[in-house]
Amino acid sequence: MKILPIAEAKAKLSQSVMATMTAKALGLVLFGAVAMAAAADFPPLSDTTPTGEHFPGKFIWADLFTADPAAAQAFYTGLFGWEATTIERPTPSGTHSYIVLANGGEPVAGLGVLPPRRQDAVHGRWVGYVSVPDVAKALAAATAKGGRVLFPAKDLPRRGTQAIFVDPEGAELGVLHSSAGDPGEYAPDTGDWTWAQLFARDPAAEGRFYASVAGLDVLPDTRDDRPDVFVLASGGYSRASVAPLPPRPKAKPGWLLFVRVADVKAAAANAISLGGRVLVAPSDAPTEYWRAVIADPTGAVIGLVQLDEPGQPKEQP
Amino acid sequence: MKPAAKRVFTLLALPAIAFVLGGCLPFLSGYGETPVYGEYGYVGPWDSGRVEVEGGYVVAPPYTRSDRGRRDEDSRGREAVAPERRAPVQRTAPRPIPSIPNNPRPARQSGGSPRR
Repeated sequence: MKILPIAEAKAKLSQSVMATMTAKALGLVLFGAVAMAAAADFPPLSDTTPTGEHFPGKFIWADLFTADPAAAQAFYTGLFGWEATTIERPTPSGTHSYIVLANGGEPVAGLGVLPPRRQDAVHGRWVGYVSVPDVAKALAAATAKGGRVLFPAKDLPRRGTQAIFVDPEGAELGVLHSSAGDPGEYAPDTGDWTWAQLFARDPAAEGRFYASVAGLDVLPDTRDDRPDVFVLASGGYSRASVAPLPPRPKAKPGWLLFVRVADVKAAAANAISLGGRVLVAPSDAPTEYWRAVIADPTGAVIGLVQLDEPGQPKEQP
Repeated sequence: MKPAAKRVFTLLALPAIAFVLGGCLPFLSGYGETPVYGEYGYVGPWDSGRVEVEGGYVVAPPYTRSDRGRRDEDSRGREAVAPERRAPVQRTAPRPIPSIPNNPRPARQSGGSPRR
């Protein structure tokens, strides 16, 4: 056995300890990376109150595609009190951030980042997702009726199968079959998605399209003397409306998604202070007090809806 | 340039100009592909123009307060009536617009920000 000088032995021992520590540290880093990768999965849609049920025709998710996710995150967390969690997803060229927005701990929406080359050219865009029993069948129905697939059906871990298409008039919508069940059929709380409206050139034809794609019933809106306005319903509940395009030369068909707020006027004022713009201002008119339409700092358009009449105490769900 | 040659040049040039402009359109207008969830793929192309709603007719959500109890009573009442004594179904009458979901929500389990 070779006897080493004390200094050399100390050095060897030190190297050995260092090697062990390095290996342990590397192990910890790898473990951490695996743990982070696992934690970076998408949250289930009904995260805190799992239903295990599906409600076809219900709007159950929304993604905002934006070139400025930081500005969008600051805006929506400030306006609706949503909480943000960033998920880093690997791509061939690096990582891609996806931000999950939650309302009271319940995931309600995501922020997807547009590529840098499009940042100056693109408005942010909200895309809603409707629950369907079978995404492939929904896409087949959409393409058979004149739609076009934008994002083919993909299985996303813990979320489910989803796809995005444009309808025959060019409006984008997603379809989703959640793996953990859809959010429950509850009265929307403040900060929850509440309503959706499609502005269309031919509301009746578009209604028929969505009836075949998402199994929605098309009902004439009997509340007003407007034969060109329809309500889309399923499961005994109204889900959305279809109405004519605004009379503007460049108006483009599209979906508008609404979030419930306690006070539309206060929320619109808050939107301005957060860098947004008001496109349809709240009004004191008895038939119009309930809504406003705003654009966030990235140009994405979203609706605000107040379910309680002014002066009426807020309903406690 | 002779008129005939000019006409031929115009006929050839126009499609070329249209082809060049068409090729630039994705970059000028924002058409293109949008990544979705990193490795899961891309969306697009779509028309990225802003949705214009100003001046449009915005439809109010039909919302009635929770009627879970009333619904149960109604359904029990209908079941209690003999089939032959039920009112005939009005096939031509428009179906009423149902409410948006209105069942009381159980308390959310996690905290989150205060309600706005």
